[in-house]
Amino acid sequence: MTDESDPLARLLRPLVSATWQPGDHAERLLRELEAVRPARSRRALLLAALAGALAATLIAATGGARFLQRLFGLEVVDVERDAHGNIDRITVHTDDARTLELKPWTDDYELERPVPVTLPRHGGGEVRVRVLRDRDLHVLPRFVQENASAAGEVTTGAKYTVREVPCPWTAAVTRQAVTLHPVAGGEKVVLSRVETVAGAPARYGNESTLLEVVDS
Amino acid sequence: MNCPANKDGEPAPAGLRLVGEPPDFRSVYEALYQPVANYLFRRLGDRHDTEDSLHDVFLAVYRTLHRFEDRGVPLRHWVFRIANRAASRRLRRRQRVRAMQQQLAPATPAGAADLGAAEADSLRALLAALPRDLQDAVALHYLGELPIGEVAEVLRLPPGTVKSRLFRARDLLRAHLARGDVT
Repeated sequence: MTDESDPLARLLRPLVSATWQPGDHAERLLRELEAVRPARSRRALLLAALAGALAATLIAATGGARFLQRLFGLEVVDVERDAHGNIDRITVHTDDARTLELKPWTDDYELERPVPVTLPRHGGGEVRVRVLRDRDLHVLPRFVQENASAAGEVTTGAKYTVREVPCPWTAAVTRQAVTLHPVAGGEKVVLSRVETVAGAPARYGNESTLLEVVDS
Repeated sequence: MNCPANKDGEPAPAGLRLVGEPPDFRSVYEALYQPVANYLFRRLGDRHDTEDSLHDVFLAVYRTLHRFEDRGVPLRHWVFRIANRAASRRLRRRQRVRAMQQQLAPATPAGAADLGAAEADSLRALLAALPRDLQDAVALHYLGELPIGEVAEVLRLPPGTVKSRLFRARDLLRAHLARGDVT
């Protein structure tokens, strides 16, 4: 890695020579982390956030995101927890009689199955994709709560009114890549095509994001 | 910080555990805090961002360690995977903020107070100009000082793909340098 014959190693030497000086940070962070109650994991915190500013990512049963474009109501009908008391899955009924499953999002989360999503096409129109992985680009629909009455822990019977956050991207699809253009401005994200078996829909992405283009 | 000792009194690398032994957060933290901090600091170049990212990384580790199963992935690779995502997220957020700031206010020329910092910033800007898949490979290999095999594990790629990404990165950086994108 510090091979003198490697021009990149030579170029980056000024960065590599910098070493983190922790001071008291290492001890401070360890104390802070060990004071956190392990039973209340980030998964639970994110789901509790359904009652706050940021709603959980919808994982299943969207059937295409179109019906979610409006304000709608949710009632929690079941909350499953693991052996540690962390929320594992929430089942909700919507006010148009659909049943949705909400799964907590974590840093290393993998979707259980692809989620169909319709993205606005860059320049107009729509692109239908199936999302296989979405760790940080927010391609999957996200929701915010409209009424702040049901704060606190998610429990059976709790009701929420939520609305979908507008998709932050428009998508342009070519054979080689899907380019996501930020609606608010800023740097676009290019998802290169990944190899798939012959005849399978084209897939694009990387370690954090993976899309399958259904119809562009 | 010292690595935890195993039954023979030898330091136990964070990637190795006795079969059936649950991972212990403090051991993981003590073994991986410094290498992960070095990686984040070199990539982000800002103390506050590094501290925030370290918090995010080790909080995620702390809260999910009980569900960690080897499945052929050593802890060290799993933690670096989380760290790499944390760094990427923060860099993207920073780019969005800068884009907004540039829309709101004209750019001001950088001061020459700290030439070392300016050089490091140029190098980071050069790295940021690479496609993201190349950035990750370069950052993990050179800034995180992970061998190609470990970079491949962290990125879940074959080692040959990591090598070809590093090769492409060298070509691209050479082209950037020829155009004078960094001084």
